[in-house]
Amino acid sequence: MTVSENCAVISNKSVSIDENLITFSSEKIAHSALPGQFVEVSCSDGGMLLRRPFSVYDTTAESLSLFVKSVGRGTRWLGGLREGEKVNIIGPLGKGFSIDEGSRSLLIGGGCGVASLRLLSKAIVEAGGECDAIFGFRKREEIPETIVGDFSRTARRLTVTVDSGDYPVRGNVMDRLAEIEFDRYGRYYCCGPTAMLRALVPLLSLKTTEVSLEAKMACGLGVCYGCTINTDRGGKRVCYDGPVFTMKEVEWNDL
Amino acid sequence: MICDHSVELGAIGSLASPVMISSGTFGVAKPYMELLRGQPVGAVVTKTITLNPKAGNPQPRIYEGPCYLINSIGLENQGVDRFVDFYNDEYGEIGFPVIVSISGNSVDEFVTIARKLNSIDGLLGLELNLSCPNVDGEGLAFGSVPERIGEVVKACGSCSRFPLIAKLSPFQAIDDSFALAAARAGAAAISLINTVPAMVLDIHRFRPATGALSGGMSGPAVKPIALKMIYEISRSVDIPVIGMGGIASGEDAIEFLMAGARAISIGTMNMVDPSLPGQIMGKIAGFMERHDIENLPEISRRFHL
Repeated sequence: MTVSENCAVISNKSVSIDENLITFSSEKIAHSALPGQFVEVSCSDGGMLLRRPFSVYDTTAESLSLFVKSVGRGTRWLGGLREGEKVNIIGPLGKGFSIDEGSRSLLIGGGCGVASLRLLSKAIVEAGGECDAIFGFRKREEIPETIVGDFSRTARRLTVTVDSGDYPVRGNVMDRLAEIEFDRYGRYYCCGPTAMLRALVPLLSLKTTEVSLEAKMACGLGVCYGCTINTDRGGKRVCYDGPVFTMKEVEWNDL
Repeated sequence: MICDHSVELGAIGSLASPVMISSGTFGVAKPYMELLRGQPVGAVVTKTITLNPKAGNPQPRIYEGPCYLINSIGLENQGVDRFVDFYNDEYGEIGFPVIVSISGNSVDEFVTIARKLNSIDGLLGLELNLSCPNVDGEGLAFGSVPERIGEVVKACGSCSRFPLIAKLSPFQAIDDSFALAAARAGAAAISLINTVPAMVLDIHRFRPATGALSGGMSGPAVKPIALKMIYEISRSVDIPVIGMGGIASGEDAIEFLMAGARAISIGTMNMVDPSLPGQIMGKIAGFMERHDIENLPEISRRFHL
């Protein structure tokens, strides 16, 4: 059930040069959000017209955390929210990841795309499975250490890599994949920049691979068709039919 | 004092609430319907239906600027046949009266769509999208001269069993000639304004910022433009005017009613907050009570210079 909830900021922590982890009070949305689903956050008090969509990073019985990267006026305003301030949030929205009980999974995340994989990693472990994770960032300052720490508790083996600089290791997720026997996993879950996802297609599209896509949305509710992408079944709304799609159904050349 | 919040829309009949949901911003998707359920909505207008399915425009389709939104969806829809086939499954239980928005490449196409929709029972009306700015040579082609609008309205009127609403773009509402042509041809109501044709460029990539060259602008920035057009046209035609364009609050809605709109329609801001109809009705009810206004038309009758 999709609900609209006024949520107070419980904490707002800077986790890298331009990213914040914001935890909101929430009962209804937090209670029902599934891995891979997203919420639409009102930015009207910050002077924005449209809501901003974010993956649900994590939940507790009475809170909901979002990983917010500052990319424009709306996200910068959200990054400046103080404890106690309230914003309206609609959710949970969209179709999330599917989980195969007891399977071995590989999570591949790029930049703020790692956010959509947190609830998933917890759910995989709870379902008796295990997961490894490879996360890529552009440079050391963009690595959200606390978030990487969160994942290190659920991922059996976590590899972090940076495009430039030497910490922890230089190279992108493709370089790290080349170093492991990447086809020994039962399932693959990917979220990150389109260029990264596209690079993964030749390796993973014939496997059981799900991707979570990002899109500019107007409504986020399945109504306006602002976020339609092409798939092998025709146009699909990222907000409603996704944001999680199988890698093989997406027409990657059109993205 | 008992205030009457219903509206009479001429041949269309009576609506329980003056708040409608505009074409393009209403859909039967579950998350949206869960939020809209129970809201005081007088009628909803579907996304524009065309004769054949349309894939719509390339991404990006949405651009947000200060107080405005530009969309270039390109009338993505599954075509009239599928719409008719699935109407009962999709719209049967929504609980709001339905107006179907249609657009065609020619008078014949409008007529064919209108005929096919006759097989659906209980529609409140058809809204003729005569002005969608997104599609080259389609809706806009009809928009260029008032006589063509009259022709489409007349042809649809002679074959449809539902009342017709002529929806005008701001360019068709710059004077009253298009509205008068539609009224004379038998339109039951006029709705205005459609989005304002607009474009935005990505200067770093030397190209449009939307996937299509241009789109339609909506949101609070267009409200004063819409208000002036509704004020003028509602005084020219003797059929009801449905007012829309950037309505974001109860105060905005009251302004439109005061300017002469018989009913109002919310679009962009309804997508941001599906509880807006209830907020608007709360404000209208409070306003009527404070000013001892018994019925909605009295709001515009009280207006003076």
